[in-house]
Amino acid sequence: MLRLLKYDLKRDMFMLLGGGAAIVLLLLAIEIGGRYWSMEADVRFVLTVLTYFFAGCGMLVIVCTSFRKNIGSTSRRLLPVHSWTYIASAGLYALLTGICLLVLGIGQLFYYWQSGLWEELKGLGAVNIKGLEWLTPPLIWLGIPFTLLWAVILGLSALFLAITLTESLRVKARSLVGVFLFFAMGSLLSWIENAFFGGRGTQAIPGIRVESQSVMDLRIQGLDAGWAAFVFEAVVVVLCIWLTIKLIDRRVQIK
Amino acid sequence: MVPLLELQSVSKAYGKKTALLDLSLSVEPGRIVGLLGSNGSGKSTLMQIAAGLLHPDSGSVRIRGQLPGVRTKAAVSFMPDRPQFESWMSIGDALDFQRDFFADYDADKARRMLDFMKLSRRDKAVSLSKGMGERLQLTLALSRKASLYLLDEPIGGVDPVARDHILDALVEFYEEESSVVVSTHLISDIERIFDEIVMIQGGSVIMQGDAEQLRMASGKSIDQLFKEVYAEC
Repeated sequence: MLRLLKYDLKRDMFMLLGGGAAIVLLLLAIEIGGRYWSMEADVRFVLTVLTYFFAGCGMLVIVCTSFRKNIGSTSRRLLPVHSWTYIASAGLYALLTGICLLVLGIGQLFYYWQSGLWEELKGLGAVNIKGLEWLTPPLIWLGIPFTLLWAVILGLSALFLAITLTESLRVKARSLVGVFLFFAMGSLLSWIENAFFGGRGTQAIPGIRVESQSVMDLRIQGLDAGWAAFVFEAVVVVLCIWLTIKLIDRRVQIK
Repeated sequence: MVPLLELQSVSKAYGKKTALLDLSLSVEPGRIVGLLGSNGSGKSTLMQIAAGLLHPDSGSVRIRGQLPGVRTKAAVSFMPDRPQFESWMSIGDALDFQRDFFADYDADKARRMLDFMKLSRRDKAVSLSKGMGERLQLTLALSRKASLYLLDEPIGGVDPVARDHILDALVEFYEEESSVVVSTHLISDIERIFDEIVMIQGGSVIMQGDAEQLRMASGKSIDQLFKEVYAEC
């Protein structure tokens, strides 16, 4: 698993380093350039959050592309490793890149706190944290990372299943089928969690939702998910991984 | 003795197109087997099934008595008919990749093969010519001390000089207690190394036997025999 990851990182090294440097430069440009051009603190904050959002999306794309390449590549599939190793190494890849982004984000938050920007943003109403009201501080610090990690595991297991299914099909519009499957799974999961668990769940897989929102909220979903929703999501994860392994073993086309 | 490779009634289809049909085959240790057939006869599908890259629709495949899986992949060295290395790799990276994943990788043999093939670890794998690329593919496959080597079209599309060099390397560096299955449709250049031949057409075996015995019995070379057999098909 770690050896696979080593070669994934070697393959994507230039893209990761270049992407990382671009994110840091963009964040510096927003903060330093923004002050220079007298940009309001809330505007800078929104741009910063958007940068992190797109960086996260970019990292997800890199991880998914790496997974797709690995399961369809002759050189990787000839290796004496179990099929779950491809899933685990891609998960680890996501975790690693996610941690790098998280460290960068924590550094920025620390800067916000130290410089008094955080209080200023709260005063302006630009930051509106929801979903933490009922938690005490120790639970917050344990709950947030766990919920984030769980959301990543759930989201990635569904994504990997959609990618594997896409790579197993022999039809022209197979990418569209994969995208449809992913959102259909999200919608179904969301519907089940709403119907049976009162909407309590991480909702890590995006379903089709129409939402109108004019203020940027930091909404921490899933911290109050409850055991039933958690067990249900765990079953979904296991099912997705099992299906992905079966498809890799039996159906994925090797290029 | 347990055969190194045993296929029993193996069939495989891609949609409506049949690639292998009720094919049975057995390869004993210490043999160089020529898997001969025209384009589209099912050679590559057979190789990929034996390498564990494809699953047959029916029938059974055993490598040293085991079903294809992680253990058999560790015992089989497969040279596919397309680049085995990744586009970002240098020759050194491609060899390190083999070293990191296969316990039977032989660094000394790999070094000797690089010298023999006139390859440099620093060169980018994708920048190699077709002939040099085939040399690298063979180096990657033979740098392991595997039980079974599966070489899919090792001399396809390379010039006669490179062909001879590749065949010399194959004879020089394969492990004698192992078996080698070489698929090809370019027979005249390569038939000298075969102990046994298997001719397939339409996914089925149409002729099989000891190469020398077939030559003696027919009074023809394997290449002539091949042309005769396929003219009839």
